[in-house]
Amino acid sequence: MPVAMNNGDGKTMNMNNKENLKQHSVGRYDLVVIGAGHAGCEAALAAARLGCSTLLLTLNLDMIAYMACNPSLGGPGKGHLVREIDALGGEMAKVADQNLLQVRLLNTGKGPAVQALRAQIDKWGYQRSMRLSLEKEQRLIIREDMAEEIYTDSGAVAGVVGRSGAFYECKAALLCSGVYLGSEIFLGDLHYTAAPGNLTPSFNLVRNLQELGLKFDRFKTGTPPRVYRRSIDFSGLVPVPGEPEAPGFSMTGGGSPREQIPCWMTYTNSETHAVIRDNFAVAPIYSGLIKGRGPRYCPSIEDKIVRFADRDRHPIFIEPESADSDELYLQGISTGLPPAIQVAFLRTIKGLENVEIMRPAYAIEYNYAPPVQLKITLETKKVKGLFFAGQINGTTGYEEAAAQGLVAGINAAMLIHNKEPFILKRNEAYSGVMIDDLVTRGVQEPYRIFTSRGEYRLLLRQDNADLRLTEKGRQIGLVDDERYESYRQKKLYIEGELKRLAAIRHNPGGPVEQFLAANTSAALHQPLSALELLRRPEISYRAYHEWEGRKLPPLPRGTVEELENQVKYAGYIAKQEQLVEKTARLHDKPIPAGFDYQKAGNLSREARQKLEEIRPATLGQASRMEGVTPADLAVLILYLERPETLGAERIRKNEGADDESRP
Amino acid sequence: MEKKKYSNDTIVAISTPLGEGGIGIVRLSGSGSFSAVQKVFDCKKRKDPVYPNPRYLYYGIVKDLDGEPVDEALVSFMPAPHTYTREDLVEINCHSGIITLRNVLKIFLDMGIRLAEPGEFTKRAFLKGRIDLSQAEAVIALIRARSEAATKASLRALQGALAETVRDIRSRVNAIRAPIEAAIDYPEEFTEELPLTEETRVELQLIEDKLQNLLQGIARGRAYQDGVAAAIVGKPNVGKSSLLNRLLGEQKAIVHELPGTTRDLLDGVMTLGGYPLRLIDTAGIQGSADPVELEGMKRARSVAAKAQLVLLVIDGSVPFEPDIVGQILPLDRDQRLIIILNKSDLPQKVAPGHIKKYCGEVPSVSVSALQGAGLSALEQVVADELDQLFGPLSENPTLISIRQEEVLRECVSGIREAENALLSEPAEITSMLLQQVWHTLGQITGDTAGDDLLDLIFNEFCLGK
Repeated sequence: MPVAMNNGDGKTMNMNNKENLKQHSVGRYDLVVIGAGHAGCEAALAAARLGCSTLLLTLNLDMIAYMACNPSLGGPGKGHLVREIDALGGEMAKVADQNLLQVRLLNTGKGPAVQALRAQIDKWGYQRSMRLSLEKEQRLIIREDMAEEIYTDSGAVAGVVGRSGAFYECKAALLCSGVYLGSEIFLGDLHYTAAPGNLTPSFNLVRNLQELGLKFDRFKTGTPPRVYRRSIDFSGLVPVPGEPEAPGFSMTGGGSPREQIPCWMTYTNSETHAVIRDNFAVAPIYSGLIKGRGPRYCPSIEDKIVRFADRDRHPIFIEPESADSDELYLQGISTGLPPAIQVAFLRTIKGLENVEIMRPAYAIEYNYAPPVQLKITLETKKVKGLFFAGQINGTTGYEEAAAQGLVAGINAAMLIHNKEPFILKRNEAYSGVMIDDLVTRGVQEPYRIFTSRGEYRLLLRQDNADLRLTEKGRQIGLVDDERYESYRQKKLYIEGELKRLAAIRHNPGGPVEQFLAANTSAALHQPLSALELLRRPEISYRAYHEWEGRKLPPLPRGTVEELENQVKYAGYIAKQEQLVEKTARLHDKPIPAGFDYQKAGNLSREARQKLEEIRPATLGQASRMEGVTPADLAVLILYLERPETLGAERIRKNEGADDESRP
Repeated sequence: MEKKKYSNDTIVAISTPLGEGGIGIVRLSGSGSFSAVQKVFDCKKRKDPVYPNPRYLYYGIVKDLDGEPVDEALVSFMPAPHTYTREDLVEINCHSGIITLRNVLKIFLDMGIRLAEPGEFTKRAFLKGRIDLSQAEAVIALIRARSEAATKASLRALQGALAETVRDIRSRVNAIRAPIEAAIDYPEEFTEELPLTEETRVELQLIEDKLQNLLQGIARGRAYQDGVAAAIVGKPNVGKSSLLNRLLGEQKAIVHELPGTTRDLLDGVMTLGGYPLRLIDTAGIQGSADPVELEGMKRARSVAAKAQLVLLVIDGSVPFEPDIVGQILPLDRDQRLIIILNKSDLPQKVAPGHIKKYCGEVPSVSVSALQGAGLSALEQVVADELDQLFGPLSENPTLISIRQEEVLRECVSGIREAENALLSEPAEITSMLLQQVWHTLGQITGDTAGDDLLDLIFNEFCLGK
């Protein structure tokens, strides 16, 4: 049974004296997932679906899958992650599709792989749907309790202790605590211990994890004010409508919004900026109250005004929180200023002259665990069976959290079942890019996915997420028949069409000329296959198919788009695939877990230090580490390539001789 | 591939090019190098308590394992880590001559010390972070450099000029990508038109020019590094061989065999106008039915066809044959021809006017190989031609390896592809192509490295430093 822990700072808490607290054993589980946010939900579902008896602990049953910030999902990179989660048998895309308020396809003119869905989500509906999914899952139990201690036995997880005194025996624990560890909320010069939704954050768990040897650091983030719809004058604002023809997230289809509810756009102005500038003294990031680092790409309005002093306005998107509520979210204007100042500067903005705030904006500082403490499976290096996913790893975003949750949940299940770990490579998925970045390079600011983080971006298209990943998901047993069938149908259709189109030949002067002319496409000079014709940007597959007199069968989501991408960008795609192959020999070479970097005598001191800390699993991972130069990499290659000629003993002897020779 | 030896055992090699210079160096690196040398180096100072004092030059006799003296030598001991290889290093300066050097080398091989693989000293220096990748490659070029200008170019690369230029190009490439990437990852905030403007196209062309500049320096660099092939051709008995001997003798030049070159195709190397000139004597060409002579002439023609410079020797004391050039060889457009009127010590029957009349604007010069007259005029003419072939010396020669040249060519085509994509493809494609250029360029400076890359580099290293 767990040992009482010492709450070192002397504050009185109900856990203080464990001897007096009657602990009671509650049950045995394979896995305990701590936290039912976006990471925890995916993790618990994945583990349960993979056969693990799973317990999901949440601080508040009514706060499951809570969207504490934007009521939206997707965008470049993030939308890709949602598709990947779906392709692997995760839940986020399906739940989102049931609760769409509006959908738009972004970046349509910028290229095949950077197009991405962005959707406004009904925040209440999302929580309800996700909770239903959890409740329906057979091997999964949801329970309200705060985890306060990870109980270990000889360095491995053996149980989780709740605030209630409940002892949950388990083989593995997965911590998805979001910003609920050691968090503090700031409203101007006011600050207090709290987490989003005014829940109580956990401090004891942080202390316990520190005792287990895990390190923590502080990040900062913020959220904008929520306001009354009825207090806004929309007459002069720019509407941002949804696109009725835009698809949903899940590759299996479904999920058109009930109606496309518009967003609205307005701008700050010089008067707004003046009000904010006048009150810098009470902005916690400038007054010195907040010490944690915030994300550069999601700055508060005070940050924007300082860093982009030459801009006289900043856009604000007004987004609905739910179809059944009057609450609106003001994207682009998160702030740590006091509520009175918030009202004052908001009322200088067009359309917001009489705005009423429902929830004031706040800044929040919280504990995260630098993710270099994790293996690529998201298991901690220190404690066997303890996994971390989501914001605790220094990321931001629901999608980033969910993707980590899914991978961590799968890997926890793999560990419990004694199976091979589940690893996504950088050329396979943005999820793989993200996790590799986290555990290899760590984070200097809250980590958000960008498409530019992927060096094989052209291969990571939103419409081929299933082609990339569903087979993998099926192999481990996470992809159900419906999803798998949809993937197979898409794959077979595309392969069949590529073959068919390549076999059709069109001659100059033939019947196809009329079709070409109708599409303002140049006449033929030489015979071309239908496939070659379709490489022309102005020739769409649908138009050609129609001209052929054929009817499109009902197809899974994204089939035609993916087919066209494969035809039109074949050359470029092949180029990236070659690049993947070229580096695979180096990048996939494993470094043994216990490799002794002290014995690779020629490494630079900085590289050795970093390598010992991060312990990369492959040479590829090592090559991406900061402080590891090509020379260090060469040394590693040499040491790894000579197992039998120079074992550990021989190296030691050599070094010994080296020392003797010196006076 | 054969299993590689990657240990830090002690290695030995002759580290000056064979035949050059007044002394030769046998060098050892590794923890066993001090003790190995002390075993065979008979030095009066060895009783000195501070012996072997680092970087002190010791005089003594190198003896073989039976105690027989092999050579007088000056030896310096350099303890790790402040050495080229960051290991214990010993340099034995011997009397030159290949036999002596080999004998000294053999002593250490007999002791069981391993002969260094090509470039292993530099490889060790690279692996220990002593030098970076482009510096390592410049070292190879330096070893191969046969003239002063080549040495300068090597030193320049060694000091990182190439790396600097490449880094500049890389940061320009990234500067183009940055706004594209911002627009892609922030489609809602970045609502302006994509920044793929005329300016981008101009910047891409500038980058291409910079890459081309580097490539243009290569021909010069190659000429400095590998030498310029100059074929001496002509009819029999016009004095080709005596001209060759005279040229080499006058110069007191570096005359030696080049590895990989067969004796009958190469007769010597001299430095001219800063370029190493590889002089090749050929068999006389004339109408003949003798199969041996025919074979010789065939070979002479093929040598001349490959040479960058063709020195056509004519006997000035016999009447001029107007079709002389055509008789000897068909000239290539890239080749330079110089007509040498030999035997100016005899009464002349050929005037410069003859040459101008029948051969066009071909540079010509009168010499006497026998008496050594006109040689400096000849050297001037040759130097002028070389300048025309490779550009003046004042411009930067680029000394790079085949690998680096390939990388640069790949990048030029990548930039061109990006220029095309700018017009016809979505922004993502342009950005991807630029990303690959950026990545590829990193291979020159070693900012990105793959193992195939390392293999390639180390295979190119030549023996010694």
